[in-house]
Amino acid sequence: MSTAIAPHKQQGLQTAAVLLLCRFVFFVCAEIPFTSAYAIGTLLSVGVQLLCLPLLSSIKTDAFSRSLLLIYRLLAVYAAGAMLSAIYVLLLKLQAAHPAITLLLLLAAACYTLTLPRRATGRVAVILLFFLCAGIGTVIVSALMKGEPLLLYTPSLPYGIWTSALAGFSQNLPLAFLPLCALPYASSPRQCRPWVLGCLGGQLVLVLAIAAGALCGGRLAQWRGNAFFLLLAQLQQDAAIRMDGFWIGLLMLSAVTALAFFMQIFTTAAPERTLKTGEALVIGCVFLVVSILFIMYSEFELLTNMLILLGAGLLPLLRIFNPKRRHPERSRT
Amino acid sequence: MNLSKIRVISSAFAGILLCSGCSAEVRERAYAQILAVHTGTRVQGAVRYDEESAPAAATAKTPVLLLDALQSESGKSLYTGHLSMLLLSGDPYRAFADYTAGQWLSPECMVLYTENAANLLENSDTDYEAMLRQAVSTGKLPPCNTASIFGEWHSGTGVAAIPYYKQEVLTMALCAADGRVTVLSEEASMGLALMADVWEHFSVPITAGKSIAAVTVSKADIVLSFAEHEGQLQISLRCKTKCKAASAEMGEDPQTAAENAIGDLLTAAMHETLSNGADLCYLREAAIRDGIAWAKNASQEQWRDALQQAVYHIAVESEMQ
Repeated sequence: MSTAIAPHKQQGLQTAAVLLLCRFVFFVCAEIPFTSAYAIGTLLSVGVQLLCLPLLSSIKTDAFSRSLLLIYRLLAVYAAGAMLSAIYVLLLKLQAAHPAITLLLLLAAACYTLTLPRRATGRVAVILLFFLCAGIGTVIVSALMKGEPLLLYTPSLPYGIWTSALAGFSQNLPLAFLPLCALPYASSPRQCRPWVLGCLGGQLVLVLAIAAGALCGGRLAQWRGNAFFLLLAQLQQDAAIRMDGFWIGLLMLSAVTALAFFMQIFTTAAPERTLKTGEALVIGCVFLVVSILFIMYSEFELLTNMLILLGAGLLPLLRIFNPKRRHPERSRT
Repeated sequence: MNLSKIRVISSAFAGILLCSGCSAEVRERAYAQILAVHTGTRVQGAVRYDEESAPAAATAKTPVLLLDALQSESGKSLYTGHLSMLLLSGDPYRAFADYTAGQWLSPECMVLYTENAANLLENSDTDYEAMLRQAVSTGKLPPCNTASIFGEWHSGTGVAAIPYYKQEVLTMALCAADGRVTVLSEEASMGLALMADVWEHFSVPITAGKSIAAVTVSKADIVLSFAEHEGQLQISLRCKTKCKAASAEMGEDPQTAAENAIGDLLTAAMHETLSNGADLCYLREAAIRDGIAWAKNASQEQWRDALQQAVYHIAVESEMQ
C-alpha cells in the first residue's frame, strides 16, 4: 500500500517549513530577554497574525501589479538585510571567530541555492524543521524541569507586553510573503493555508520556549548576551553535553534556507528559470550591500521599518482597488 | 575555467579560511579554570588553567585590567568561557559587575567569597568546586552561581547571597552592591538550602537531652504566601516535611523535636536575610502573585525597606516515617 503524500500537501508543508525557519532565525537572534511579558506578547502577535492569514491567503498572484511585486522585492531585501545584520550581531555577542567571513559564506551558500531547482529549498526546510522540533522540544522539557514557576511573576522591565508583541510581529515578517509562496513551492496560497495555519500554531511552541526560558532566567533581564544561548547555558548541567554547536549549526542552515527563500522572492518574476552563477552573485551583492547598511546604520532599519509597515498597510488597499489586473510577466509565462 | 572548478576552489578557499582561523584562535587562548580576584585599593588576582599547572598571579588597578595583566603573564589571550569557579574577596560587587558587563563569566560559573582570594588560590590546592557541590547536595548551602547572584543584585534588592569560606567552614554571606558583607550563620545557610530544595541528602541535628541525634529529611514542600496589613508585609512560610530518625536517641516525641529543629533553621534563614533586606527566595515574585501590586513597581530600595520591616510566621509540619 502506498504511503506517499499528495504533492500539494508536500508543497504546503514546504511553505510552512520555510516560514517557520525564518521565524526561528529571527527568534534566536532577538535581543529581548525571556520573560512572561515576552511570552504573552508573542501570543498576542500570533493572534494578530491569525487574523491576517485569511487576507494574505486570499490575495491572488495573478492580480499582482508591477508596483506590488516591487514592494515585495524590497521587502525581501529588507528581510534578508535585517536577518543578516541580526546574525552578525549574534555572532559578535557569542564572541564567535570571524563573524564577517561567516556572513559572506552564508550569502555565498544562499546564492548557490539560486542555481538549483527552487523546490530544493522547500525540501531542505522540511528536514531542518524536523531537527528544530526535536531540539526545541528537548530545550522546553529541560527548562520546565529546572525552572522555578514563581519567576513568571518577575517584573519584566524594560520590555513590556506591547513591545514584545511588536517584536513578535516583526520576527514573523516573512509571513507577508505568503501570497508569493505560491510561486516557488505551491500552486496557490489556498493550498498552503492549512499548513500555514499549522505554522502559526507551531509558534505556540516558541511561546512555550519563552515561558520555559522565563522560568529559568526570569531575573536575568539585564544579562548582556543572547537570551536563547543564555537559556542553553543554564541547561547545560554537565559540561560533556554541549548543545551550542547543534544550535549554531541549525541556525546557520536555517539562515541559508531563509536567505535562499528571500532571494527567490526577489527574483520571483522568473519563477521557472534557475539562475546562472553570475546572476546569483549579482543578487548576492545587492543583499550584501543592504545587510552592511543594516549593520552600520541602525537608523536605516528604523526608516525602512516604517516604510515597510506603510507598504504593508497599503497592501489590502491595492488588493481592493486592483483585484483583477493580471501580472503581465505571469500572463506571458 | 568551468563552473565546477570555480565551486571546488571557492569551497576549498572557504574551508581553509575557516579552519586556519579557528585553529589559530584555539592555540592563542589560555583557558582559565579557576579565577581568584581580591578587590581592594589594588586588585590582586590569580588564575589556574588546569589541575596540574601552578596558578599565575598578577596585580592591577581594576578588575578588568587584572585580566589584561594575567594575559601578559601567560602570553596568551585569556578565555573564561570554561571558567568553573570564581573566588572573590574584598568588594565582590566591583569585580562581579565588571566581569558580567564584559561577558567574561558564564551563567553556570560557581562563585565563592573568601578572605584574600588570590593568596588562597596560590597557596592551596583545595578543590573548591567539589567542596561546593558536596555542600549543596548535602543541604549545607543553597545552590549559587553567576546567574543567581546577578539576578539577586539586579532584579532582587541589590543584596546577593554568595557561599563564604573561612577556616574550612562553609556558610553563606550576604553581599550588598554598596560593598557591605554580612556572614550568615550555619543554621541560616541550612535553612536557605532547605528552602531551595535541590539537596539530595538533608540531615538536621537535634539536641535530645545530653546526646545529639539527627533526622534525615526526605521531602520538604515549602509554600510562601504574602499579605499586607496596615502597610506592613506579612510573610507566611509553611513547610511540610517527611522525616526519618537517623539515630534511636530521639527522646519521647521525635516528631516535635524534628519540627522544632527544622523551624529553627527556617527562622534563622528568614531572620538573617530579611533583617539585611535580602530577597533570596523570589519573595517579590511571591508578593506579586499574592496580589501586592505595588511590589511590581517598587524600586530596590523600597522593596528592601519593606522586607526589613516585614513580619513573618513559620509553620512546620513533619511526618515521621
